[in-house]
Amino acid sequence: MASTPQMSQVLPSTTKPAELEYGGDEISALVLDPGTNTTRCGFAGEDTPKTCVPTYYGIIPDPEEQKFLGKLKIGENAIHSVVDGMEIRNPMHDGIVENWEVTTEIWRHCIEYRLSSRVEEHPLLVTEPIWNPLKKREKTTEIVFEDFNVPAYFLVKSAVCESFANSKPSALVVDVGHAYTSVTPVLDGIPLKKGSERTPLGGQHLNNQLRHQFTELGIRMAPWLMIKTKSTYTDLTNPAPLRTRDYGFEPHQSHLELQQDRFIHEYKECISETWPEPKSFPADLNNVPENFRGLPDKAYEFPDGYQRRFGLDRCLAPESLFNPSVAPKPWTGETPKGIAEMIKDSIDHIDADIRANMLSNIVVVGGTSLLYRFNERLNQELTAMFPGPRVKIYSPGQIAERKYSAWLGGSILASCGAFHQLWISKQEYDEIGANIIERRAK
Amino acid sequence: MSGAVSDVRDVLGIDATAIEPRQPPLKKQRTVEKRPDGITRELYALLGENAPPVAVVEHRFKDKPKFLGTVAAWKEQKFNNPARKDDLELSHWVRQNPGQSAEEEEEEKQQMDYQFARFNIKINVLEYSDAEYDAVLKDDDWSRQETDYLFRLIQEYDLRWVVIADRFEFEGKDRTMEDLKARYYSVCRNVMEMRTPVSMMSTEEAALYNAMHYNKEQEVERKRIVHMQLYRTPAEVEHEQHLIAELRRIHDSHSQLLEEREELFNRLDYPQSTGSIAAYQGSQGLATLAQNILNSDRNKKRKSVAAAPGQAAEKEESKPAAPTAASPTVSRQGSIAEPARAHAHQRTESTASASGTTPLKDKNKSNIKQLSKAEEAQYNLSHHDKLQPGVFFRTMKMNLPKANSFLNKSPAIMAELNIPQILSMPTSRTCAKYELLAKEIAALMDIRKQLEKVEQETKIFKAQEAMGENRTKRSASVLSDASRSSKRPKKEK
Repeated sequence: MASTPQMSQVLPSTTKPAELEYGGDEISALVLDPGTNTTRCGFAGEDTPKTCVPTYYGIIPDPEEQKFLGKLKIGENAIHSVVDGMEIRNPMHDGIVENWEVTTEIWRHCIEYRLSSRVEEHPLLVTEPIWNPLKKREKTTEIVFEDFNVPAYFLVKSAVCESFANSKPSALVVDVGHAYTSVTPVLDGIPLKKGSERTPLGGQHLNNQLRHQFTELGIRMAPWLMIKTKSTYTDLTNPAPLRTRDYGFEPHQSHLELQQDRFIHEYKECISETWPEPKSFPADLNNVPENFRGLPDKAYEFPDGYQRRFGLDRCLAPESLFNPSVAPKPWTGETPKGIAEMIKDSIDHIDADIRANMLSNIVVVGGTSLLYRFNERLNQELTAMFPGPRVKIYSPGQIAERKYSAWLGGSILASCGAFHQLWISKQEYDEIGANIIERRAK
Repeated sequence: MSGAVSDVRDVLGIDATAIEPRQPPLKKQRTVEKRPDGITRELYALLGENAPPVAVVEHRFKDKPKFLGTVAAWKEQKFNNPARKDDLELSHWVRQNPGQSAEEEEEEKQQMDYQFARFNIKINVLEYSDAEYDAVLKDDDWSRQETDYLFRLIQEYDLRWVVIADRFEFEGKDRTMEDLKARYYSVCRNVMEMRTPVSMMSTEEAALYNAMHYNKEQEVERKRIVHMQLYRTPAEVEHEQHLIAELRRIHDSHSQLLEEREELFNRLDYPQSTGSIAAYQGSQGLATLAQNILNSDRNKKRKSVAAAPGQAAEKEESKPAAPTAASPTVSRQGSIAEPARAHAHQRTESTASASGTTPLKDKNKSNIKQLSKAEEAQYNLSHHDKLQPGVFFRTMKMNLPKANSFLNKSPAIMAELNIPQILSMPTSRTCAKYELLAKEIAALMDIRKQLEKVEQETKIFKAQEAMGENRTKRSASVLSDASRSSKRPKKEK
């Protein structure tokens, strides 16, 4: 700490920053952020994960394979190739690991195959959702020490990582991910359990809504992989003939759905849009008031060549994130809360003194929050809900930072000098057992 | 050398005379042409043959960067963290000093603590013994186990009450943050009191003891108000902002009023005489006083004369200095007119000297033709108290209000009245009219402002009345408190 450089001065890349000012001390740790859609993995201290592997896996039934009752296919290339009888599954449910055997293989694939690292040489930081039950946390600890044999390990809540990634020790973290949307208040790096909320309104929900919407319209949902040649048409009553590729077998339904998700994902990125104002979206799209200010149409071509212009109906699925009752596909159970209501409930459950602070530090992350005008809408909802206090939304502008916020926060944490006293070592695990996770990482 | 050359020539059979001795090359003469007049040096330098404006680019690789010093070696090194209870060894990369041997390094490593270990700070939480608990800490509502659990949580979360209240789970009991705080502070106070009686405490201890006082009801009430504050309706927020703005305005005008009042008092205050008036009671005393006043008066006049000697002749003040100029019985008005007329006459004779005015005036007095008003107007003759030397625009001398608000807003009003900002024919009469108009515009603006103020106030009172009717139930509201307090200064007005 010889001198403190001024803010305007940028340190040349050849000079090492002053030790305590930078606060980092890299011990070549690995950071693993398992999600429902993808599992992110990389080296601590970097700003994006080195690898992003789909969490979906394929199973080809094979009586000789005892462990998984079939051949396991992991990785992007493997699951998207068309193989006879391959079924696509997901080991996670509601953000929590259900199938540990497969998850272990996926994690191993990430670290050993994708990163070409030896897992027993690096400390490992894993993220988890806040509602992860104790049993699952102990199981993770067990796998990490018994199967991977890591020297040190820590389990950290993804909401904490996300607030750190946005350089906030205290924030109300809104994570709009693939399987769920969660709202978690974080105070000084500690998540508050009583104020945390979650609903299944996420990317997967949008996929299902859009799939339903397309089916209602009568659109053939043939994915790209199945199309041999296409000719464009615009009239659904008189469609062009469907010329599909002949693989000599019928791909499994789950595989087809995964492939459909790929073009639905593209549709979400290019066409879907959030209606920017709360409560003004017409309830019945076939009967829109005449003076209603609509949206310019956007055209989309489906894999089978069908071209269609989408107007207001492209706002329908994203609208259901804020107002679930308008969802095109009816809810089977109870209608969940919209995102703004979740935030309100979360604020109601935390102490009155920190509410204003939380409202002025709302961090919005997650891939689904990249929907066009999502933050604008959320801001409008919240300012209408809380007219008094200052409502401020912080959301990283970079797409990668928005999608991989939890990983990035983990990367910051694991490369931070003051964090190294928190690692759970193999020695501690051997002494106490898997229950150590409850004592050390709360 | 020349011998060697001639030998060579001999060998080659070259006639020495055939070769003329080489002339030394003509010295290139730099002819310095003289720069013609009317061309600047910079322009002249551009003339003639210049280097072409094309940079010659050499096709070659970039130079190797020059690094200062040698490249330092880095080494992966294992380290222990003293903040940890176990001896986990992690490894990081450290820079090696060049001339350092491995043993020295090892030694240094042993000596040096891990630098981030000092961030491992724990707070000191009071601890109590079994005896102490039994003596003063027993509580019907709180069991020993629960109290212990609370103190463990406090230690773990460093007195972050929000987190402690969030994580507190004991046998399904529902404890609010206020319950937890009340218990903690009462335990602390009781233990402190038992260890040292209040009368024996040192100042720091006493301060801590008093700081530990916790009023649970007050805190609950405060939280309730904070909660209400969060869920204000948009109308309430707007009303509150309005009130704040109004309060600020009242404060501002109040201080202005005070200032004005003070100024007025100052003005009304006559200077209190300190000396006794006994000296001036006799007739002789009065005479001295009169003489003094006269003297001081004269001094004053002298000063002003001395200040402007050049223009003295045209001024009434010059009279005491030059008593011959006019008879003392001449009325004030006449005395102004006379020298001015004299001056006007002087101008016609183009005598610029001002100092010679007095004798001239005397001489020309008989020649002056007295002009009637109509004639003056006809010849465009005007009389001035003071004439500024030099040429100037009459519009520049106009006496217009200087206030910023006037300067900003008058153009709009002028435009409204269809009067141009710049006078196209600024005769003395139009200028005078223009001045009058400006004064009236300023007055109009003042009146408008006052009107707005009054209208605003009536509006607020009406709104408050309406609000008061709507919200009679909510007597504890912060807003009504605020509005009540904001009304008070207005009544004083």
